[in-house]
Amino acid sequence: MRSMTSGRVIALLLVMMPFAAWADDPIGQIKTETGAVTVERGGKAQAIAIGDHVFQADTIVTAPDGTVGITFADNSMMSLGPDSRLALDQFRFDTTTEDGVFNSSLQKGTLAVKSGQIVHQTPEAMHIRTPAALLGVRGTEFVVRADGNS
Amino acid sequence: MILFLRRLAPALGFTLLAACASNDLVVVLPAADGHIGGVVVQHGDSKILLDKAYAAAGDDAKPVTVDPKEIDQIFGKTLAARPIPPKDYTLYFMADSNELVPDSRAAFEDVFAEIARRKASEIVVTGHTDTMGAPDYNDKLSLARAKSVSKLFVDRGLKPDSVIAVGRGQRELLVPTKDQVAEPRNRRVEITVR
Repeated sequence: MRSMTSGRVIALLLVMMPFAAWADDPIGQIKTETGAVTVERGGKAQAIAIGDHVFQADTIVTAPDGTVGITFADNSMMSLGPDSRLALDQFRFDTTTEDGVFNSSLQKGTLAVKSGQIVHQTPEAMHIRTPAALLGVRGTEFVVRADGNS
Repeated sequence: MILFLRRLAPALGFTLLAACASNDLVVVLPAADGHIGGVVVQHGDSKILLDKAYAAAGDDAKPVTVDPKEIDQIFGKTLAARPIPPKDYTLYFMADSNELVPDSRAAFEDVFAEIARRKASEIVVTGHTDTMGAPDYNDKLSLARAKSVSKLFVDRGLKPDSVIAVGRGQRELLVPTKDQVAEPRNRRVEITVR
């Protein structure tokens, strides 16, 4: 930070400001885990454990022996099977009005989903992209398999 | 090579498509509460709404049939990793007081038992009001009550960052009423353990 010129710091703060209220907030918590599970955050991969929080723009990765379950701030739930990649692209949730947006990408592997308050308030405010398709969630529990090679 | 393939494509169209096909699968599961809003699967121009238990779509959003045994084979480990679903409690207070009614004191203890059976948990404390007063005022009032109840949990040893206070104002009436109606059953705090 010290090496930055003050102009650059101010510019950076201005860019970040509109998002400051929510960009840093946790969007979910790891509830279950088996085998090796990592999170890619800010270009770095690190191990993630039960009780840890996840944030917007994280990518959750399970090894061939790994599974993980996450509950999000709107009470939606997702679990990933082995050898899977899930990018948490965009998550916004207003706890007072329950308005929000939840967009993620299953880049490969398997995913189980139960929608939460965001979808209850606004059907199809939750989208899951796979390499081949786009899923619009109107409120339900479902499973998805995505082939990473398509 | 690519050019060569492109020229051949009309003749080999079917085979090439098959080679490009993904292994996509979406299956709707039965809902515990019986309500299925569904999932819209969109692949290019084709689109399908899956809104019944075991409704499924494969490549190119085409409907497919899947039997429960197959679901277990493909998704067994994924489903086993699902978190314990959130659990809700409702707490009521003595009139004009922060003191819980006797029944709610038992519910307050149940919350701790529920937390104990989870490896990692958070609790959401959501305040609700009746329709007396302005909606904006009720947003603030419901949040204030949620915060005071949150303190009861923190005082009992929960970490402050695992207790989330939310004010929903008069948006979710337990007992539907007209505006400006005093209704004790609507003045409540809901606790969700997740």
